[in-house]
Amino acid sequence: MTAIRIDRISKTFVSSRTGEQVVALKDVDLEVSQGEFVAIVGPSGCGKSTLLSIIAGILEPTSGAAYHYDAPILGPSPDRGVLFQDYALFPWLSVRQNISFGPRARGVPSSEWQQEVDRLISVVGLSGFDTRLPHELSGGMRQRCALARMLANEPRTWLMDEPLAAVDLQTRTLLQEEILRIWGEDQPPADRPAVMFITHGIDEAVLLADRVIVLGRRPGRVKADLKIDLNRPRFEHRDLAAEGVLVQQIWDQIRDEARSAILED
Amino acid sequence: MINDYHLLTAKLIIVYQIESQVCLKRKCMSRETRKIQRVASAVTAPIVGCAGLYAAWTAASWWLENPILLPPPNSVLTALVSIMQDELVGDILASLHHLGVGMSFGVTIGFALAVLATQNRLVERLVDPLIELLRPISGIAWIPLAIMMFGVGETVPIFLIAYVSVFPIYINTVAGIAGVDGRLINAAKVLGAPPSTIRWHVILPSALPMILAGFRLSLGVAWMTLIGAELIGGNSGLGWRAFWYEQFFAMNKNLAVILVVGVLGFLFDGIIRLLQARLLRWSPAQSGAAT
Repeated sequence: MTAIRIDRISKTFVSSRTGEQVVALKDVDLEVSQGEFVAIVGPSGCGKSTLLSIIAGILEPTSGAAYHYDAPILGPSPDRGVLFQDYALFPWLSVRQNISFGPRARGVPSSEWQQEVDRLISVVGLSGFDTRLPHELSGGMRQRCALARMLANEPRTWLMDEPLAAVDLQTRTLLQEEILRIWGEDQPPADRPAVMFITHGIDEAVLLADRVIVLGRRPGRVKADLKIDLNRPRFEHRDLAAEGVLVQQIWDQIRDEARSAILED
Repeated sequence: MINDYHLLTAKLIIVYQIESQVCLKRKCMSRETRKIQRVASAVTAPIVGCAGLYAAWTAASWWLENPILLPPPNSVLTALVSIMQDELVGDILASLHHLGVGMSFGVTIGFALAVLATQNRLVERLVDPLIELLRPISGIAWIPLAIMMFGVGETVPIFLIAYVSVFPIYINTVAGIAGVDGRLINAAKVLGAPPSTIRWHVILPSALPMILAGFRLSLGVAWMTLIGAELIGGNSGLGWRAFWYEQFFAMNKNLAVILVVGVLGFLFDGIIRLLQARLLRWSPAQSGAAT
């Protein structure tokens, strides 16, 4: 079953200062199946985040259309959960209040979400921190809190925008493992959400995903679509040699554009 | 003589202060001792400042030898005790009444205009230039017109307080709402929050630090304007009373009232700072407001 379908999407930004047009995405076609973990990699400026924002419904494409379970995406929906790179936690709410924000905002009676929120707090390892405020947490804990906040809505699709870019390496490794566990990598695809995971880290993409999509830049478009046939659960059967080959293969696709991206910035 | 005693006390405090600073620099003492020294310094320094002013004031009044031109501070304190037992409470209540009613109007109008201006372009284009045009005009400038319109009485100070308190709350609320982090609004949207929830549970708390800072500024300028407005256009309150005493050359009582004005203004500001610290505990930048 197709969870996300992107149909010839283009997005052009017009600079309000110079009037200059920047083509962020050009004729992008993409499909993500139910239960599939798709990582998107590409150099800076390839429109990764733009694509995710369009699927999240917080940005409209200039042309083309996006569908979620065959329904056109016209705006944000709690069915498509988003995890932001900078957490975007509400700083005035405690961990618990942040996590329960979705159900509360949607008017779900508290009897229906109390237990689930308690469970999520322990799933993401924040037991005992539920009354803390975001500024009292470490970066890793903030991202755990944001993950639990997304999960509290029980979305059918996870949209993750470089969620681990701002945490240290050890925390990142731990969180990668946790994300796969919570996603349900040992479950059949029908029982777990579709994931679109944007990252700068090619090794991270190879480690986590079933498929890695490489976007090119100027204009942003799909350059390559690679299947990652490594055994799951990934952290139990790590095959560093096979991972290395795949990482190299993807890096070959990106190298030249990444270099020119650095020169331009 | 009482003044000699005061001078001596001030001198002793200064000596103690210097000593304690020297001790602080030596690393000979335990952490607890140093902490006590720091607290003692935080307490003694303001006392030294007040004592210095008191001493200078006393010296100046001796030199002038004219209790009407500049009454010595001890006679002002005596006058303060005497008016406290008499009319002061009524005057304070009258001023608080002017302040409360005036600010209720001003803050409500300023806040409402700011919310409308941030929601609607047309309102913004209508209101913003007017605010910017009127803002530099001191509230005092409207006293003659206010007296003409309302006559001398409580309406003049209430009107002026309402007028001056509109601007800071308007400007800060606009800036606060404009400065809301768009990422938080997006986060709320993707979590399924309807617009009203975003307005009350995302935008309002985000803008609250700026709004409270605006309220604090409004209160400060309102309190300053209050005294002038009562003094010229009112028939009750602390400003009016200060002027009334002056008519009888009771300058010690006049200064006693001014002292009360200062202390009350300080207290109001302290209350707002406590409120800020309490409501903005979540903001590392703001929660220090009370310290």
